[in-house]
Amino acid sequence: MITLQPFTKEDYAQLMEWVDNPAFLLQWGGPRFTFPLDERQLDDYLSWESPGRQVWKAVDPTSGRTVGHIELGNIDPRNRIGTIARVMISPDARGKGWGEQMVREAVRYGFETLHLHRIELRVFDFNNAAIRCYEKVGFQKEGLLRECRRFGDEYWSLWVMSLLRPEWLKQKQEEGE
Amino acid sequence: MRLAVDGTGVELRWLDKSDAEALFQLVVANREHLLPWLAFAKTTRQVEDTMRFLEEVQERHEQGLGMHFGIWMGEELIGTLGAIPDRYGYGSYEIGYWIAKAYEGKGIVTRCVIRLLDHLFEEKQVHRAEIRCHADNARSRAIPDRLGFRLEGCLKQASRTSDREYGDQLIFGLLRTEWAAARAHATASAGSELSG
Repeated sequence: MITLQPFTKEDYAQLMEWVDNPAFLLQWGGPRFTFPLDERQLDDYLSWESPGRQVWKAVDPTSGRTVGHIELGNIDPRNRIGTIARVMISPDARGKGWGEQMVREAVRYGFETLHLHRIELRVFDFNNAAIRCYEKVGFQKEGLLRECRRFGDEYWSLWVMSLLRPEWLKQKQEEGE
Repeated sequence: MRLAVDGTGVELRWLDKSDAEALFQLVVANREHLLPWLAFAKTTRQVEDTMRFLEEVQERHEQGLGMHFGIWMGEELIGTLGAIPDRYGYGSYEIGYWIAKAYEGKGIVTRCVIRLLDHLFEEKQVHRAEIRCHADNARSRAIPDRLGFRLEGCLKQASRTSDREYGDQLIFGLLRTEWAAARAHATASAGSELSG
């Protein structure tokens, strides 16, 4: 089982290596970053505040290798909503189900530790591997924000997906039986 | 900034701090009307609360980070209409509005939003406009429906009302490339509604 550990300065170099082009930076990080990713931007990223926010690296406990990155942030305590973001699996560790495990762990933390009611995420509509992974974890598509991001001369669309606490509890119960 | 709204006798004017008393009184008079949908209806307790909001508004105007209009019928403030850009300059604006109960059902907000969309799409070359509202707020959602917005999604239990019940949130989107056709359709039907 994958483990989530705090993402720190020692992990910057590896992440910068993974994010090796501007399109991928927008896909991974959203609009707050500019290519190339650097230390200053990552310091800033770690300083974003919302109550309970977590930025993790995902570690394969067998090898001790970092295989991914994920954030649970943008926490809205009034509505008990959190957002999964900046999801990535190391280019040489894909196709092994790490992504699904990593998202499951982040979701568990959100519902069990932060007592969230709703966890949402946004994913570009062309990112089929990611969409499949989120659907396996139980996320459902709720809407397509058409052409809401610009990349060069193109506009990209984002799916909003969500998983509600009652849906997650039900799923957990069914898996336990 | 001022925008005249044809056929309504209404003018849109940027709000500033001198409007604090009028806006505060309008919120107080419409508190019950607004409470189910808008968080500030509960938290606006004294004129200083409104003043704080208007200070933010003025800052946004100065920095080009949004437009907050009062809806004025002559010298009477009857509602507000705002448009806030996404933070990252993608050319997407989110629109929000409310109007005093006494002026509901007259097509005023619809016409004000048409005027605002003309400004956003034609003068500011905005790429996308978005409206979000509670799924249960029939009057609010009628506006994007009428104006040819596409219902892009329904976020389940994404917001709470003032009595802390979860409700769904609707997202409507409209692109600049869609506006000419949507506008022709909307103004035709708004015209017949207003004369009928």
